[in-house]
Formats: sequence, structure tokens, C-alpha cells
Amino acid sequence: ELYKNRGKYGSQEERRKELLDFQKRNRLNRMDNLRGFMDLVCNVEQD
Amino acid sequence: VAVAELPAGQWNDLIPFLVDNVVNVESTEMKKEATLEAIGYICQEIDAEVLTEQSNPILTAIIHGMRSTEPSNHVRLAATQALLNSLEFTKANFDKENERNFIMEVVCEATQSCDMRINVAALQCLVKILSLYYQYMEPYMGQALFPITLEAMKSDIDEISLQGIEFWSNVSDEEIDLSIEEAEAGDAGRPPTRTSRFYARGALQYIVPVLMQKLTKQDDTDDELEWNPSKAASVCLMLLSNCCEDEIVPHVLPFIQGNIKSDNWRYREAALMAFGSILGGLEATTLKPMVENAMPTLIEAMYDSSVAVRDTAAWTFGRICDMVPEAAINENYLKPLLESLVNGLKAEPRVAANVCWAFTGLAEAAYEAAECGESGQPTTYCMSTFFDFIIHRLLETTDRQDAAQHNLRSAAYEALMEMVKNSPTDCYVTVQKTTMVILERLQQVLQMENHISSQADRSQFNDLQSLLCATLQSVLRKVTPEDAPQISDAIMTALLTMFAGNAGKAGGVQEDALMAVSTLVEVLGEGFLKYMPAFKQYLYVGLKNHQEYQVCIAAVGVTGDICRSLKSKVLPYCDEIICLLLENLSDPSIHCSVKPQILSVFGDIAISIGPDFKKYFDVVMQMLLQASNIQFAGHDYDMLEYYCELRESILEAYTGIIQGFKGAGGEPHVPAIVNFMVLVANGPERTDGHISVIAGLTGDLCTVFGHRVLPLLETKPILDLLQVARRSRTPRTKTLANWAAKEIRKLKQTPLAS
Repeated sequence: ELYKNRGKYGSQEERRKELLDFQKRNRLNRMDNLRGFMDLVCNVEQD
Repeated sequence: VAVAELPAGQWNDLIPFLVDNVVNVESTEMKKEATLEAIGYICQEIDAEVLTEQSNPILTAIIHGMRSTEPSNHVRLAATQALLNSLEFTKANFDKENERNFIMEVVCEATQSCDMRINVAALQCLVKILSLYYQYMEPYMGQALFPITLEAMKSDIDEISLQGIEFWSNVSDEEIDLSIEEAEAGDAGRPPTRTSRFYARGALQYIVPVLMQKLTKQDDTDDELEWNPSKAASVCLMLLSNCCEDEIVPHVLPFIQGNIKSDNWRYREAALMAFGSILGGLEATTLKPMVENAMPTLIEAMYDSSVAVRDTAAWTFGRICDMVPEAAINENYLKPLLESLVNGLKAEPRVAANVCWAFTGLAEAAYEAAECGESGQPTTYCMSTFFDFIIHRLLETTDRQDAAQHNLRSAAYEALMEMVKNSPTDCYVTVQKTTMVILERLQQVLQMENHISSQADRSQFNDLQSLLCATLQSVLRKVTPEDAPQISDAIMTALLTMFAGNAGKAGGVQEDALMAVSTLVEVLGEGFLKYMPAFKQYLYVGLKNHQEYQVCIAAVGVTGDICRSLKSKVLPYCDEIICLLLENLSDPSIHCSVKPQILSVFGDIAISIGPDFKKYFDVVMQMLLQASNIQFAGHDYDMLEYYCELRESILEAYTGIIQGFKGAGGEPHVPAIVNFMVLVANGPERTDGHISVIAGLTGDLCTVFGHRVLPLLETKPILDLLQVARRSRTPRTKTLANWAAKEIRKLKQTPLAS
């Protein structure tokens, strides 16, 4: 599988993981929004 | 029959009977051979643990058959193959020095057999013994294993050479693992349980020249399925480089420099292959200048007369873009590199597929190197000028007549997705155009449904729909909220047609279409409501698909997206959704990875419908409390990971339920929820994810229930956890902990209302 990238059978698995990450992030953002400190989280993360 | 009966404690006289067949002097050659083959098959198929107690007599029979004094090569071969299958359960024998010495002597002797098949089988045994019993190999390495395998590598017989190379690939693999284990032990402040003997480093100077020679023995035709010493040598070099890092460079560089411009394509390709293969293990300080110096030669190689050279050059660029992208997006070389790659998209499918891979890495590297704008997206990047042209060429590539070869079609679509995903603001017009092209293609493909006659066509048709759905996801993520409603009707019509058609019954297509819906829901927000009457039936079909769990996970994911986007407007669909989710949780046959996703979605629903969640509350809580009681037992890392994920999802569900309860009155199972928080907080498997959700949930409980929950929360486990959370490296966890602590303080400072 290592030979010349031939083990790379599409990136379906990566896409699944990426979508799950998006969904998790949206869920957490929504919870933080309800707590009323979404802006605070963003500021801390930018720092 | 043995594989069925032995684990059940039946047919107990089988192994003694087989052993007697082999060691009995009266047995014929054929009887011995057949018996050893039977032993070999049993050892291959059965769980190693079942035979551990009988390893002595089995090994006695096998070694008896393998001895050089055995006159029949048929018997020796069957015995050697049986040994190969029995190595897993003979640990107790390898643990004893005298028995180990005897086994090793017999195996090494068999590698010298005149019968090539015995020779190969014995070498296979050495390869496996090295992996299983690395720590015992020192006394044999210098005297026997090294000379035997070096000679094997040099052999002109491919089967023998392959085993010699495989041995050193395995040594490298093993020593890479050992160095990781040693680093982990060092970090944890404990001594490692096993240590590397650095055989690969010691052998570099002897084995690398042989590998170089093998690289030059390429097949004339590129048969993807054919495995040969040249390909094995490339993989061995990769592993040696990962294992020995910069130490490999002086052994390889002279070969590269001496042959990269050779008149003979075999040597040019071998030099390029050696270069590309060693990149993975080198230190950045060695790698970057080496690649930068090589860039003009590598670009030239993209125009080589030999297809093999161009193929390897394109693959090497893929590796460079992946490992040292700054060398590829260097302003001195970017333009000629892009020209050579775009040109390569028209080359043979094998070359074009590797070019697509290079574009994938290049897109990501260029995007990451660009300066971010206020929106978090760069306004421009170094490939902006070329973007439209590259996208155009990639779209052409996906449509090539020969795109089915070498995975070219999917490689081109994947490159397209990465290019779009990593595109800056000034490339948006091209993204818009691409969205329309993909949509048109989707509509065209759907019209082809009735013209499919063969199974092969059906499979290609399904793959194409999956790819188009995946590409649709990547373009939709880039589409602005203003543009999205203008194209959503057409997209949703196409997706609904797909669900309704035959392809919609294929798991892969269904999953990709559901994932595309997820993205559309995210982009449209509440605007997705108008599609619910038509879409709900397909959502329910997905949720009921227990067999194809990836489809079910995608459907659960869309359900959560819809709840978050539609908020209280999802209420009319909740009875059916909750019912299906509960059915899934109760089904013991459903894949376990679906369950944490479902639990988290309960939280999404609870927040969305607020007080209306009351009617589902008891039954959902019952499920959550049941899931909270699951205990982790065992040492399986994957199970531990799953168990942690499950706990995080339960905590997320509780968070959603508590947040949804705000202002609704009542105290829904708060003590049980806090008990679970404490259980997780005190658990040895506690993760940063757990800490974060518990901190948030603590704050939520304070804000929703006020003073009433203070005695439950002001306990050592929760306060200690908040302390840990405040020191977390994750900013969000820190913020949540500070907020929760503040909410607790606030309650303590405000007088208790009467």
C-alpha cells in the first residue's frame, strides 16, 4: 500500500471525519451562544 | 472441522493423532505431507490461544518434518509452511533459549535448501519471527540473519529477493515502533519495556546499495497488481528512511546524483524513486535545501520521454507537496512547476493521477501560507492567478475517456475538492462557476439512470454520483449565504431524485447524498424548512439503515444539523425522529459507532424544542442513564476510545437537555446527572473533551437551577476538575472553566430567594 501512494483509496474516510468535526463544532458553538459568551471564546482563541 | 471443534473442547485426540502421523517411522511420505498441510491449515485458521497449550507436540511434529535429514522436499515444504502458521502460539517455546536456538537453527538451515519453495517459506518464517520475537534476535542477527537475508535480497529469483527485502522492511517497521515506544516512555518518565537494537542503522551501508540495484529492475509494463523487487525496494527505502532519518542520505545521494541524468530511463527512474522514497524520514534542515536544489531537475523530469520517469516525478511532487510544501510554493519555481503539472494532467492516466495528488497537497500548502483576512479566509494566495485555469483543467481531467484507469477520475475530483476548499476570496467567481458545472453534471448523470445495462456501468455510475455529491459538499461550503438560496432548489431536486432512484439504494451513494444535504442545511439554516416535507422520508430511510452503519451515521448527522438549523420548527418531525433514534439505540446489532452520535443529537433536539422536549424526557433520560452505567473493562485501545466518546456524548446530551430546560421549571434528574459528571471527573480515562463538557455543564446547571444545585456542585471532584480545566491548553476549556467558576461564585454571593 505504501508503494507510490497506491494505498490511498480515496478520501471518503477523511470527508466523514471532517463532516463530524464540523457538526461537533456547530453543536458546541450553539451551546456557547446560549451561554452568551461566544464572543469571549472567539477572543480567547484569537489571542 | 478442527477450527469449529477444537475451540469447543471437542476432538481432543486430533492433535496427538496428527503428531503421530508425522513422527511415526512407518508413515509414508504422502501421509506426512498431507498431515503437515492439515496442521498448517489448522494453525492458519484457528485462534492462536486455542493451540497454545498444545504448542509443544505441534512444534515437535513441524520441526521433525523440517529437518535437513528429512529426505522428502514435499514434507519439508509442508512442515516449513506449517511453522509459518504456528509462530504466533509458540511464544512459550521462543521464550526458552535452548528451544529457540533449535527452532532458529532449523529455519536458517531451511533457507539454504536447494528447493526454491522451501527456501522462500523459510525466509517468510524469518520475516515473521523478526516481527514477533525481535527482542530475542541479537544472537542470531550478525551470524545468521544478516548474511542470509542480504544474500536473499541479491537473488535473481524474485520470490527469494522479495523475502530478503521484506525482512529489512520489517526490521525498519519494528524499530520505528520501538523508537516511538521509547519516546513515549521517556515522556512518561518510565523506562521502555523494549528497546531498539538499531539493526537497520547498522545494516544501511550493506543493504542500501542492493536496494538501489533492485530499483533499476523495473517492469517494462506498469501492472498495478504485480509486486516485484523493484517496488519492494522503494517501500523498504521509505521505511529505512523513516527509521534511520538523515543517516540514510550519504548512502543514497551518490546514486541519485550519478543516475538522475542517465541515458537509460531505468536509472533515471530509479534515481528519482530513491529521492522520493527517502523524503519522509529526513530532518527539515536536510530536507528543504535538498528539495530546493532538486526542483529544476524534478520539473525537467516531468517532460521526460519515459512515462515511468514522468510518473515517478509526479509522485515525487506529490510527496514534496505533502512533506515540504514550502519548497513547492517557492516563488522561483511555482510557475514552471504549475505549468509542468497542468501539462501532466494530459499525460497517461498513471501520471495524471499522481499530478492530481500533487495539486491536492499544493492547494493546502498555498492556502496555509497565505495571510488570513478578517473573515479567517485569505483574500488572495500565490495560486490565485492560475486558479481558474487549473480548475478548468481538472474538470477536463474528470471527463477524460480513460479516467477510469489508475483511479484518475476520483483523483481529479479529489484535487478539485481540495482546490475549492482551499481557495481564497479572489477565486470565488471560479467557485461559483464550478458549483454550476457540478450541478449540471449531477443532473446529466441522473438522466443516464435508465440507460445502464451492465453491473460494471452501474458501479461506475454510482461512484460518479458519490464523487459529485462529495464535490458538491466542498463547493457548498464556499458558497456565500446570499448565493445559497439561489441554487438550493436545483441542488435539492437533484439530491431527491438521487434518493428516489436506484442509485439511492446503494449505501455509498446514499451516504454521500446525505452528507451533501448536511452541508446544504448548514448553508441554508432555517431556509431548509421548505424541503422537509419532501426530504423526511429519505431521512427516515437512512435512520433505519442499520446494515450500512455509515449511512445511518450520516442520517443521524443530518438530523442534528436539521435540529440546529430549524430550531423549534423541527417539532412536527420529532415524534418520528425520536422514535427511530430510540429504536437504533435499542438494537444490539447496530454498529456501536452510531450510538454516541445519536446521544449527542438528543441534546440538539432538546435545545431546539425547549419545553416541548418534556414529552420525550423520561424515555430519553432512561436511555442516557442506562448508557451512563456502561463500564470499560479490558485493554483494547479502540474500545477505550469508544467508551470515552460515548461518555462525552452522554455529557453533551445532558448539556442540551439542561440548556433546553431553561425557564421550563422542574429539576430533571439533576442528582443523577451530577453523579455521572463526578464519575467521569474521577475516572482514569478522563479526556480533555470530558473536562470541557463537564465545566460547561456545571455552569449551565448553575444558570438554569440556581442555588438548588449548589450543594451538588460544590464538591471536591467538580471543583478540582474546574481547576484542571483552567490550566487546560485548549482556550475553550479554559473559558468554560472560568465561566463556570464565576457562575458558582455568583450564586454564593447572591442571597437565597425565599
